[in-house]
Amino acid sequence: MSDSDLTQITAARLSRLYAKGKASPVEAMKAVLARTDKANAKINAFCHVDAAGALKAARASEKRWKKNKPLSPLDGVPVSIKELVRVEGWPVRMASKLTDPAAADRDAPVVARLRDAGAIVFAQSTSSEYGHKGVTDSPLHGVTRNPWNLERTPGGSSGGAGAAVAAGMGPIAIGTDGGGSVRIPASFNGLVGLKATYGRIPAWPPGLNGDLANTGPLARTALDCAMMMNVIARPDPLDPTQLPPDDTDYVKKLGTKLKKARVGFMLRMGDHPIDIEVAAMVTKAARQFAALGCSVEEVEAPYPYVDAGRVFLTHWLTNAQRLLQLFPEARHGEFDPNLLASAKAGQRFTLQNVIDAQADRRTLSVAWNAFFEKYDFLLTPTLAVQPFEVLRTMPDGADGKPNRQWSPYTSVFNLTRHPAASVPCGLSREGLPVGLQIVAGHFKDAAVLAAAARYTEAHPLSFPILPENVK
Amino acid sequence: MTDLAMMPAHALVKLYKSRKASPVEATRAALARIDALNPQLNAFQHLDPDSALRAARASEKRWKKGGKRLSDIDGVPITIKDMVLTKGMPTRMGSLATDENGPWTVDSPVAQRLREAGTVLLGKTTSPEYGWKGVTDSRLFGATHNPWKIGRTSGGSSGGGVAAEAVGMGSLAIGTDGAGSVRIPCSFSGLFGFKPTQGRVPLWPPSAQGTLSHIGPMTRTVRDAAMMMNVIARYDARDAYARPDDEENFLKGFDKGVKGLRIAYSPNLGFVEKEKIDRDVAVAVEQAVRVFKTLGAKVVEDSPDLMGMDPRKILNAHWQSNVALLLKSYSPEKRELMDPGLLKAAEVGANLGQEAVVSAIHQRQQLSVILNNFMAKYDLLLTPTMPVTAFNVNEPAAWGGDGVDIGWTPFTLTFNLTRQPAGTIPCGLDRDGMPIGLQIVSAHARDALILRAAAAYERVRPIAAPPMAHQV
Repeated sequence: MSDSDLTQITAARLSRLYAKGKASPVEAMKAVLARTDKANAKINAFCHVDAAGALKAARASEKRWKKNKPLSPLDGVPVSIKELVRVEGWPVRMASKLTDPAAADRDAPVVARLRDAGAIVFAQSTSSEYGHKGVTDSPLHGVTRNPWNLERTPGGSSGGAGAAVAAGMGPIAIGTDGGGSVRIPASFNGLVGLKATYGRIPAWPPGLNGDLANTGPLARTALDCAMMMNVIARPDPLDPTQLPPDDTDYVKKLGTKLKKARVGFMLRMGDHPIDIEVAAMVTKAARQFAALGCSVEEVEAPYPYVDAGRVFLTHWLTNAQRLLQLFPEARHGEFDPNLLASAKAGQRFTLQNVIDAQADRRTLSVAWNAFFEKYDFLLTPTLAVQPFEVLRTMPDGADGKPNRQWSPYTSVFNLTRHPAASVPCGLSREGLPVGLQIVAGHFKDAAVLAAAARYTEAHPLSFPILPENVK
Repeated sequence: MTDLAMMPAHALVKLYKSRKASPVEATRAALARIDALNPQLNAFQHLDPDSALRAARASEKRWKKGGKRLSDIDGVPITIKDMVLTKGMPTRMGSLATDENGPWTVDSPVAQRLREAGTVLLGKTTSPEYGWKGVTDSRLFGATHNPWKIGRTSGGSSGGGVAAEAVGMGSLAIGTDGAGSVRIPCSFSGLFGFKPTQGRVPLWPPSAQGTLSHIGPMTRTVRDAAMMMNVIARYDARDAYARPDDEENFLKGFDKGVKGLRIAYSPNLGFVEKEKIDRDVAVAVEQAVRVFKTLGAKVVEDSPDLMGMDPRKILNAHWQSNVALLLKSYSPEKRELMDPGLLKAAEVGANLGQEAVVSAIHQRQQLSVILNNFMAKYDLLLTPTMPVTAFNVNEPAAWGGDGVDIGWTPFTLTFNLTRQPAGTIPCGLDRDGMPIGLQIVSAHARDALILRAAAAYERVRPIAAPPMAHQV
């Protein structure tokens, strides 16, 4: 990897250059801001950039590195934060025209931890409104585009985070994942993204989607995600649902070998279509796990995919319905029409539907827990499709009709709370990234990242400067 | 010689070790007490003396020279609530609507751990139907009485377990707690009771009450509860909400006392109306708080600001709607067999409206954040366990309520919502001689700290046995 362009190297590499005095946080921050100036006009990944604050923080970091007293290996590394996560001093609009434009008066736990670690919180990345859909456009901020192909979506709802990292607008980003919203953009942008075990990364305030929602890292490598985990997976009294601190060193554990791991491979969750290239690439990736010493066998979902989908949707839509209560009816027309439709659909569920969905969630979680007693890892595609056109909520299927089942793999692990990552497993013929999902039993977050590291070391994705012609 | 049945489990195993007593003798002593006292108390749904004696004999061999004991509580006689699945023994959930023929082929995690630990299961203790109320009576078994006074309730829903435990019909007891069902009966019947952090003691099959449900020990000494936790607080994949296995030793630091601990005392937890708290309860709790001061704790009176939320309403919406779902799986004929109060609760639950329940779920999160922040300032929080003492049997709730509103146990239910650990320890008797409980609460995962504090209190205010226990 060439170090000449500081926007194209990982956080780990930046950190090493800082340590050696071969680059400084101010240089890196300036390069990222310059890159942002050019690229953001094309991809619209950021809705707020704090250049002055960033440079001030970079200068402070530079002093610490000069004294050889960095706050952490991430000291001086630029990081962007999704607009659903609170950053003190910035408006946090949830991509909604209806929310309060006043600046937040407190950092979310991950932001506070990143600041404690010296990372430079420099920009706010776009989301769909309240993160309600798997693509990224909103009435408040417009359309976010995929730097690999500007006509395509970066996915969502953390699409701004994914597009930014792929475009060199900061090597690492914080997203959120309530049904796949970290893993979807990781897949569509060729990144590593982790939805940790629920409660591993503290969050605040409680969001619309309760214990489906997770805050998580996106980066170009598993190592960068591990470095972020070392900072953000730390306890915070604001989150009553967090797991007890275990002081895991995710970077150290990244070296864990894969040999003899029992791996289940599942190309389909159930009866749904899958893009033929995605199928071929993910199948190849599964074989590559075998070559890495794992015993790989084909498996089936231990709980029917259709039922899991219904359980998820019941939770999701009835939660969305709360927006109708939170904002006056006169302003409901300002919601993203897709969100408003979801919220109204939520109202049509009965109490019985909701209680049933909760009970079914418990049952399916136990079924998946039993699965992970037998298998160390599950491999699936992250998505059943390649990045599709912007301004759509779903692509067309082979039959020309909208394909509602384009994301059948991610949301079940929000229900079960298992750790799941998306890692790049190559580019399609069109040059678009395809993601492999790696899932493991509860609390095995470090193992998921280690598996991601073993695989991507053996089969790295080389990153061109994106978007093309913006250099 | 002292009666083995009333001996604390930790003392009993010492006698096993020195071979001054054997598991068979201890089991026989417990069975003798069951013969003598259970007819008045009605604490058991099922008894199996033969299998208990078989297990005791097997344990006896392990305690002999050259034998290998399975745990620190090998050979200790125990009881398990009728809500917890046990292989080879019926689990009726206190209900005529469940099938008396089983099959009873599988242990729940807690029963399995206790079996692996070599304990001697005497039988299953009574519960109201599906543990639905804070007292213990059912159409299946009738009413369970309070060991301190026949005619009063032992509390519930783990009322059978406490009635048994208090008079030596078993040395250790397992209860379940969805809104206070371990702590209510322990408060009413004068025992130590502990609801661990949610997920610390795994639970299976999943409860209709979801993450409100907890399993915990009910004991005559705090040390016994800690020893029990060392066996049951172990990871099991059948509970999707199980916490990671940290192999915590709950006896570590057990004797360190409370000196220097920051303790908040909240007489009303920020929301319970003063007039609802019995005067004797308020006085006894206040005195108990003073004991913590004399033991060197830094106690301040402080209550969380609940921002206008009422945990009673949030809990009611959760459990009533969950009960509605539970009952849906029964035919109308089966429902005819059920407690009318439970049916009424289900009907109320079914009509709450989806929006109200989804709102309650979100309020639960908000409440949990508030309590979490409150606990960041303190090591422990002290409150009354119950606003009242044990009332007459066959009344479904305090103050003449029908049990559909569970709000008469406001101090306990709050911590089912927040999933924090909470224990109760006896802190006195009321004007009628009925026990009063002090609730000790901590932040999540600090279960051992509660045990340690309760032990410090117990050292200066030992837990008394009811007079009935001395009549054998």
